[in-house]
Amino acid sequence: MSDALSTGAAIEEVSAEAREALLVEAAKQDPNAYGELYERYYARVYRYIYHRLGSVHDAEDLTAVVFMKALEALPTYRTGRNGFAPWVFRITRNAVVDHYRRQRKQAPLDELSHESADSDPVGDVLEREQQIELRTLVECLSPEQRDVVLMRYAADLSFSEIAATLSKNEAAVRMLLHRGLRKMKAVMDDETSLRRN
Amino acid sequence: MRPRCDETDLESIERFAATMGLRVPMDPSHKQRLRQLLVQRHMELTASGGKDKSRRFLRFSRIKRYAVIGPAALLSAAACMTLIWSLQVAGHRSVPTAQDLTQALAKTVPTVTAWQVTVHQEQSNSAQNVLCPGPLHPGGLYVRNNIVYLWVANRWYQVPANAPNDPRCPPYWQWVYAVLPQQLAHHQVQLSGGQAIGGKRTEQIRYSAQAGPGKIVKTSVWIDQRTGLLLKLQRVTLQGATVVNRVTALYRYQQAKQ
Repeated sequence: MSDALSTGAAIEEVSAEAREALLVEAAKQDPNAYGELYERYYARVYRYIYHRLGSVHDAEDLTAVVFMKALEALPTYRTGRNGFAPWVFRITRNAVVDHYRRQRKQAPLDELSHESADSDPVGDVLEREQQIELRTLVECLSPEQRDVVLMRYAADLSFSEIAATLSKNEAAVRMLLHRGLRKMKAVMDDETSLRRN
Repeated sequence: MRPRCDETDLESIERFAATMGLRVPMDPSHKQRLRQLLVQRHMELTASGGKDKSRRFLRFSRIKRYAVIGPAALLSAAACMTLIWSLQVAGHRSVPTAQDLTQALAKTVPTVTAWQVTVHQEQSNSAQNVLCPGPLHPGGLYVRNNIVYLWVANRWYQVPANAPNDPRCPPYWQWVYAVLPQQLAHHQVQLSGGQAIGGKRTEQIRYSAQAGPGKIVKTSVWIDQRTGLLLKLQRVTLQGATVVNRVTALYRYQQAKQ
């Protein structure tokens, strides 16, 4: 069979959605396919969790929990219209909620510290300040607005994927995002004027 | 009162959120370590064959267990009764549609980890045997929208269109077990109880097709009643009343435990 492999030409015409659906099916039985699926979603899941929790260590731990849960629940996954992303982000969202339930409090902002790979102390401080600023703005939002903003900008989900994750329609998601951004803008303006005064 | 933000005002905050949303401290070694752990865990789960799940199931109370399995068990019993009844109505066998077979094979085909085809061909007073081995990567075949795909070394192949083939074995004989529903969809089929093959009860499906002027190809397939997998295929080419070619293929499978 291995000799014969060279005679076959892999299919390229299958759409990205179909390829992902097939990859998920493969991942149910093949560890390497699950590894590939993990590579596709690791950064998106991690970023969403990091912005929700504000701590690198918590984000790493919870990302591990999410992918372990996804692995164990994978045999129950059925390919839906919106693909794998809504399914994995429902697990992610529930994991964050469980985390808060266990912690009973949110991580303080001063945990937003990390070792930066590049050696630019000024850049690091600026970056950290901007992250704290984003987190402060996101904290002012309602839970639903926060989810939509972070799923859109941190997890890079499409509106239809967010809608499927949150069991809402796309129009409602767009409205939540718009209102969330308005609120963030208002808070930012308030802070700017306070600093000026 | 705060003035309303217009769209232009929101663009700056949107840009800020989009930029900062993607910029997070990330340790690549964590990603690598976690991947190894997940692959390891996947292997454990596969090896345990879902034993973990059964343990989890036992955590339910007895009433809850009955509530969960009760409706499913009743439904399965009703489905089995219907199936047995439909097979027992003498002279009025229900013909499995291509869709029925697809559904059965969609469940069974992905469990095949290896198969072997022995093809015996009789033509012009000569006979030859070809052994076509077909080892698969575990879980290598997938059925989606009635199309069978093969996943090898991170690449997809459509079966049999561009699937890799053993050069010693014609693609048709090598892959027909996986694409049988697609084959049957184009023919009027007749169903009858088949002979036992390797101790397995079978259903026989027959169909024929015109293959040129005065030439007709009659095909019989025997499928395992339990799994829906193809066990034997016989194709006879007739020119008028003369048999010009007869091919018999026998299939054996190795299946992963589910």
